[in-house]
Amino acid sequence: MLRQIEGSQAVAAAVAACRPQVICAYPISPQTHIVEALSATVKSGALASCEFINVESEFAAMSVAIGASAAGARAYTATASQGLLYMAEAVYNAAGLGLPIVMTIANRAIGAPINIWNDHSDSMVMRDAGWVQLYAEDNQEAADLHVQAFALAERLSVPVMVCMDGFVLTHAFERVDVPEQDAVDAFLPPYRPRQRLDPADPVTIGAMVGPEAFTEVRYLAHVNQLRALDAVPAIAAGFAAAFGRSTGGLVRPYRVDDADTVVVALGSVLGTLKDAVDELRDGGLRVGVLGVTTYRPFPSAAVRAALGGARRIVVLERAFSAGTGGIVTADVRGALPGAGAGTVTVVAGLGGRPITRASLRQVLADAHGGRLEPLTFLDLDLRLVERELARTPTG
Amino acid sequence: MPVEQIPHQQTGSLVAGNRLLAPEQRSGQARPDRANSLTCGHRACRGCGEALGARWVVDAALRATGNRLIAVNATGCLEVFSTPYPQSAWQLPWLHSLFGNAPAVATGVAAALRATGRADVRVLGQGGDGGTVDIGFGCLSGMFERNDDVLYVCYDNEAYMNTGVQRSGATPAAARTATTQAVGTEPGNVFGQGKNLPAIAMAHEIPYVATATVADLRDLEAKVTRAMDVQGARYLHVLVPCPLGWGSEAHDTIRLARLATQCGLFPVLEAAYGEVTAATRIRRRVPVEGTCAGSPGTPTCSGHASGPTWSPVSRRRPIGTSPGTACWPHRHPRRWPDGDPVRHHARLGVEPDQSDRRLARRATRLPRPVSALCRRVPRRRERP
Ligand SMILES: Cc1ncc(C[n+]2csc(CCOP(=O)(O)OP(=O)(O)O)c2C)c(N)n1
Ligand code: SF4
Repeated sequence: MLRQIEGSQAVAAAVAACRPQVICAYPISPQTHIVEALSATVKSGALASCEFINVESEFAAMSVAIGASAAGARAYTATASQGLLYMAEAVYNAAGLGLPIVMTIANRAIGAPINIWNDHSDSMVMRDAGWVQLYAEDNQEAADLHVQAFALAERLSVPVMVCMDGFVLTHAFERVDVPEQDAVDAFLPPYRPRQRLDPADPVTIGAMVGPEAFTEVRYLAHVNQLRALDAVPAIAAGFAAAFGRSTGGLVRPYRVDDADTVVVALGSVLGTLKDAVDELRDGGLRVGVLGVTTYRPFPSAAVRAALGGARRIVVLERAFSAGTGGIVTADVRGALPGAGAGTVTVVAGLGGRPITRASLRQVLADAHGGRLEPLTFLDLDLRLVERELARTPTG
Repeated sequence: MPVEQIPHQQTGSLVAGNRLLAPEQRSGQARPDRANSLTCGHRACRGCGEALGARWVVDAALRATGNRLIAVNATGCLEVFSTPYPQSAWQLPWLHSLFGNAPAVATGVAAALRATGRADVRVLGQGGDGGTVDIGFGCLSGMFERNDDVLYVCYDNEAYMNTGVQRSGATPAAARTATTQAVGTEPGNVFGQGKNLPAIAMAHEIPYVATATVADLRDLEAKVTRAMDVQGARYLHVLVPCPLGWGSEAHDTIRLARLATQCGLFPVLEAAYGEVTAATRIRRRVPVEGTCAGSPGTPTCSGHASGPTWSPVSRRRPIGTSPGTACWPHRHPRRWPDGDPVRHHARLGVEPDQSDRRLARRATRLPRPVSALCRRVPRRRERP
């Protein structure tokens, strides 16, 4: 049903349509509206046989989800930023146990300094946790990705994170075709766990594994992750057939076919980027955009195919690794022949700084002209940093 | 350690396997069809109190639920020794996630059982004292507060044993652990610290709290059975001596647990909704001094050791005649003999020190005993 709706409400409605059986949550901006809406839905009785559990921390939220999922329930939670870090140990554990939990990340910066606004520092920390990571470009995709995420998680028995930009998406009112209950029911079969805690068939889950088999356990998890590279497009195609719109998938190329310069990015900045690309194209510059929807597992082949013709590649990052630079850049380089020489990093929009079309136009034009440093911080206030650098003793 | 003659009825008539009793009087473990939830082959040390306690607890819970039970385990000795991949000693559905989240995982399991229409299956959470009173404390308190339908059992061996006997929030004062070593005249663990988790659980006013030891397995079994009759959050704190951590003999596990109750160190009680409802009477009170902190080098009933290499059980200095005997260093100032440590040591002719004075000051500042546990235990007569 088409609705003018806040992103969080749309996601909550999509999650509810997936009929989760256990939802647990601990509040953190900008995730709050999602779980508030779900708690009301459960309270209203609209979601039959669903338990909403208010927990005392994010660590407990993920732990409750782990217990619920292992006992055979479809489990969901949502968090952001400090909350994601606070549950880190359990995030890894859920993946290690192969539990198909779905979690929304309302992407937000990590402190200190404390900052509630949007960037990707939080979910990037978890890129190696063994979860599938999907990044939504807009609220339609955010809502749809949750339906696809449950299907994917349960097909592969892996946990899936759906990342949506905090405030930019969670708090934005947009027109969204909220997935209808009937359609979701037809698309998403009831959860059939591969293994569950059941007195009729006792299993031991979470045993201690020593050096003799640990590598094999990890290798199998890797292979299972890679299966998502086939499952994600298949599920996205199935979703498109059922719902009549194309969302999700591995990557989303935009005007890359004849592009000399392509910007690679994740999340809501893709919308602004496409506008900037359209404007530059009008001015005769052959630029394009590659949106990465599935960041883990990294779709190297799809990225390579999409970037094949480009001479210059700019990776626009919403997080970075201090002392090294771009995080996604390393993945992109790894996917390209010759280790992606000519790939540069632009770090943008940290802690909620707006990424304007004007700045993007400028940086794209610079990239196209080969004038971009290997690592650029978009709209960096040089006066401020130089003053501070001059004051701090070196060595 | 010298063997104490124990009246026949304390062991012979009540423990597992006694076929002389009428069938209805026998313990569940005496039944040939007992669950054997934790089978042989696990890797616990010889004489491990935790392995013994866990088997009785889980067996009793299985019996009480007609085998409709799922166990959730915190990281710790019990988890490690029972599930060396690819083997498992557990005969029931069992889940281990992390060290500090067992109560929350148990909550999740219980929620899933309700949501999937299997609410007749019950949930048992379990962990060591470290996993319970320290790192898992937040999750445990949350589980209590929500009154989730979980029986959580803490096997208290008074330290982090799995990582090599480090101090936990349940380690008694002066105890020697790897991180509270007795150096020179300094005792092991610091005085006046530590948590009384049964009292904290009672403060949550949950439906059922009990303590027990592996010295009285019939009592342990009965408490688990009663706990499974109750819906909501329940807490059972079981004292389980650890030969490796306490430096005791494997065959002294039961004896040490019994001494801990007989000398009043470990009150054995039951409580409902924050009120003590029953406490096990100490039939023959034994002094801590001389009984537990006996000959040099032998362990005391709470894991301390006295003797040439370790500090005396409770104090930096020997008290009385034999070196290493001691007065029990209660964390609660009111539980000292003579009212508080200053008066107590004054009576013994020992100069009170700073820590005595601090504890005594604390005693005067307390308008009434804060702990229902401390207030009520001595008054109760009846055994349930
Ligand atoms: C987050 C975390 N911190 C530390 C550890 C290391 N660790 C594993 S078991 C354990 C000690 C367990 O002690 P306790 O809970 O008292 O159980 P016991 O082994 O004595 O039965 C520790 C510290 C861990 N596994 N996870
Ligand atoms: S170290 Fe202690 S608790 Fe651990 S297995 Fe050995 S005796 Fe049992």
